[in-house]
Amino acid sequence: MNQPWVVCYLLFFFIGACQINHSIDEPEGSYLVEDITLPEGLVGETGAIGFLPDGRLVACFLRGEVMIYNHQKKDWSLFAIGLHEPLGLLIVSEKEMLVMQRPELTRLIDSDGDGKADLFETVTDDFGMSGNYHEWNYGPVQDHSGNLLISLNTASEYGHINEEFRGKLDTTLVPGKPMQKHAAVSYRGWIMKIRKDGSMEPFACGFRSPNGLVVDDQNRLFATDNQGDWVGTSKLYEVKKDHFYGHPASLLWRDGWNQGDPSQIPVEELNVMRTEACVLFPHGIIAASPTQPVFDLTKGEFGPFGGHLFIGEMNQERIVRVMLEEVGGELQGACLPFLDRHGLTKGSNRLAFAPDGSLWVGHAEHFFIGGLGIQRIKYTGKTPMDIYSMHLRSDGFELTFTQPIADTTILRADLFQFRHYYYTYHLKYGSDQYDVQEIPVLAIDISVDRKKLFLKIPLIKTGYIYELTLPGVYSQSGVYLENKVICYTVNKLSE
Amino acid sequence: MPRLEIVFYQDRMSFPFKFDEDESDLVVEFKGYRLIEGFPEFHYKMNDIYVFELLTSNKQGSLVRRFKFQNMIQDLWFIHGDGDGIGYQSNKGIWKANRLKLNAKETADFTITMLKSDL
Repeated sequence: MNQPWVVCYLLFFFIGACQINHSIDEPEGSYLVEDITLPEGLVGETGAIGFLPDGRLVACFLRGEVMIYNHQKKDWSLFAIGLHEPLGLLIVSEKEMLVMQRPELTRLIDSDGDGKADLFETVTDDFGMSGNYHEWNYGPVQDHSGNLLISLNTASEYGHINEEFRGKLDTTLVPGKPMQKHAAVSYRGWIMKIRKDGSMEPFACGFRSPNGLVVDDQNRLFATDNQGDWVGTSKLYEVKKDHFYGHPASLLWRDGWNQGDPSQIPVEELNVMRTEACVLFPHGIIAASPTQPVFDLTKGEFGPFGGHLFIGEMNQERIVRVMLEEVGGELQGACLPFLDRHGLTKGSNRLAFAPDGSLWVGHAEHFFIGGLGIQRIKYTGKTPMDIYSMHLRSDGFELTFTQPIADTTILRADLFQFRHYYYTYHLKYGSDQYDVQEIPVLAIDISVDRKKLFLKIPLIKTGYIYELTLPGVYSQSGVYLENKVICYTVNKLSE
Repeated sequence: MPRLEIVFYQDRMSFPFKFDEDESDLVVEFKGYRLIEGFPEFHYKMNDIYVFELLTSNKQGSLVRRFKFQNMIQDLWFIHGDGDGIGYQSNKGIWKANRLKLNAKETADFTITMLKSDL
């Protein structure tokens, strides 16, 4: 700790002397949400978004369009049409884009320079497709060596398999008894790597619905996954080659697999095989259906959260923020709401930062909870009152705020409501919270600049989420915390 | 779910081309397509031979399939199903019942027209 600290042991008898002034202003917006008007007749089911270097938006829509939008001129133009459920986009240039469709990853090329794609080259279709509605495909993202990574959804036990299918077929887990997602055709539930020469190799498996990939500046791959069977609550994984992340259906396609139905392997054995997520999103508290993660690399254009991850959420009018740290050689961290409502709609399926530092959100529902259209979130320059970071220490957590907190705040133990719980790993859809316990705050330290707090708590346990609620914390200028709950996933303990 | 259109034809054949009349180990790889004045020209490989297939229509409303096989040195067979309600015509090659035989030179550029028949 570089900051000088003031040690403030809990003085519970001060509580009564520190009543909050209820006339204090409620938070004012640091971010503005703008609706983008779509062309008349276009169904705003947004499958992917990205930006050309000149700032124009490229958006894919699930009925098959790829459109380009000039925000200054409020002008849309059609780049391509007739694609099949495009859910991913990687822009190479204004004349070349990679689009992940249901049947293949395709390179769209405008070879004659008329602003419309005319050549559609198959980059890879070397994965299975059974006709099951739930077999969505995501990506691509590019690693630092130029390889592409895509993720392949599992199939639904409530869907069917066509007589005509593509890829290898293994119906071990079909028709889904017990009910669970399956991988009847090759590489469902996998993340695949496509080399520069076009060949594809299995990269990692165990995913249920990995609707979001991103590579960071250290060439680390991250993927989100959705709560459901074998996924107690939604997650963010750091994805490493050849690792297994928990949903057993995909194991059918592991090279040399000879153990039959992978879902019949004792859960204790599967649990040993799997790599745990670096961040869990408590269901209904933080997220129910996380989507695309993007790193804020805007150098302050989008506010004070540079380097943090922003992740879409389908089921609530919310964007989630994630902060990661390395503890015991592994990444783990905390998540909290970033933007709740403020004009944001549900179904934040795709996120992308524009060159001007604004965050664009493409919405979709696709027969589930969600929304339609595209919105733009712009930082107003007014620093939000929010939790900037949460770090695990050996005997507690260190919080940093974006603004100094009020003098009275630290003296109230009830302003820091800790509890811990865990989600279990099992076939059943989702998980209850187990071993839910309130955690007392033993002591509080505050830095001289009043932006850092250290909250000392009793014995910290691995495998638990530590949820902190701060209902009444406000800044010296009288602004309440924008977001009042933050959840830290403890996989490793800090020394 | 909305119904987009009436199904007026469904190809129930497996891949229609063969290099030898009884070939069974053909490897076909889809490579993509190009839009030419709005019409799709599909690109694929049959073993190591590149194939281009442009789909258009004629004034009679028939489906016109223009094929270009690159660097062929052998004969080619096109085989269609029986009783599919479609009549087949070609501008090159020799028909034997539902089989069209083309020599290597003819495969460089030929057309098969599919028209609704009264079968």
